[in-house]
Amino acid sequence: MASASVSSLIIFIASLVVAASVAGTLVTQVGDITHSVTDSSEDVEKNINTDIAIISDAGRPDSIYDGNAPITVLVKNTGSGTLATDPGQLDVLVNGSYVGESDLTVTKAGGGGGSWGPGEVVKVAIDYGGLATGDHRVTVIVNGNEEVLRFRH
Amino acid sequence: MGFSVSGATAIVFLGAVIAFGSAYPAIVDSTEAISQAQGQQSDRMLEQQNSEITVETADYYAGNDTLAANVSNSGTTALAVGEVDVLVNGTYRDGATVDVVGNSGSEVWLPGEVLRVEVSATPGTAGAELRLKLVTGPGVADATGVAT
Repeated sequence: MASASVSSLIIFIASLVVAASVAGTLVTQVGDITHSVTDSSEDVEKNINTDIAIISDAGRPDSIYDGNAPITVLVKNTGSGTLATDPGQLDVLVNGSYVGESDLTVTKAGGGGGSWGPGEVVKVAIDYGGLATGDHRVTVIVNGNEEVLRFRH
Repeated sequence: MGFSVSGATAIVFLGAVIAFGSAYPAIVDSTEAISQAQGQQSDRMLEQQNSEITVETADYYAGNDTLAANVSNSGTTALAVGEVDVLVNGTYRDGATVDVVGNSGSEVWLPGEVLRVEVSATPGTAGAELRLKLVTGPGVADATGVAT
C-alpha cells in the first residue's frame, strides 16, 4: 500500500516536471517567434515607408557623367521615412556591376549634414570611371526600393 | 494518476496562456504598424498619380543672369513649395527663389496656382540653351529648354 503511494507520488512529480518542461519550452519558443515576427514587421514597415526617385536630368547627361569619375546621381526621398546619409544603406549598380560602399559618397544636395528627410535630395557620387560612349544605366536601391536612371554618354 | 494528469494539464495550460499573452499584443501591434504603413503608401501613390506640373513660360534675363519660370500646378493635389527642387543644366540649385503667384510666402501650391521660380544661371557658352527641370515633393517633374 505504502509502495503504491510512493509510486504515485513519483509519477505525480515526474508528470509535473515534464509538464513544466513542456510549458517552459512553449513559452520560450513562442517568445522567440514573437521576437522574429516583430523584427520582420519592423523591416517590412521600413521598406513600405521608404520611397526614392532619381531626379537627375538625363537631358543633360554631362551633369551625370562628364567623361571622368564620379558619376553623380541626385536621389530624392519621396517616402515618409527618414533615411540616413550613409553609403552603407545604398546599393548601387552601374550597368549591372555592383559598386562597393567605399566607392560611394553621399551628401545632402541642399548642403548641411544630418539625416535624409522626406522631400530632401542627396547627391550620390559614384567613383566609377571609364564609361564607354553609349547608353548606360545606374540602379540605386534603398530598403528594397529600386530606381533606375538611364542616360547616354 | 488523476492528480498527475490534472496537474500536468494545468501547468501546460498555464504555459500556453502565458505564451499567448506575450505573443498576441506583439503580433497585433506589428499587423497594425504594417497596415498603417500600407495605408500611407497608398496615399503617397494616389498623391503622385494626381500630381502634375507644367512649365508655362521660362525666360532668361541676360541683364542679371536670371532664369525665371512660371510653373502651373496642373494636377489635383496640393504640393509643398518647400519640397520643389530646381535643376539647371542637371545641377541641383539650392538658392532658387520659389513663390506662389498671388500668395507670396505660402507654403502650399494649390491646383491651378502658378509658381514663380527664379534662379541665377549663366549659359556655358554664349547663346547656349539652358535646361530647367523642376521636381515636386512626390517626384513628379517637368523640364524645358530655355533660349539665352
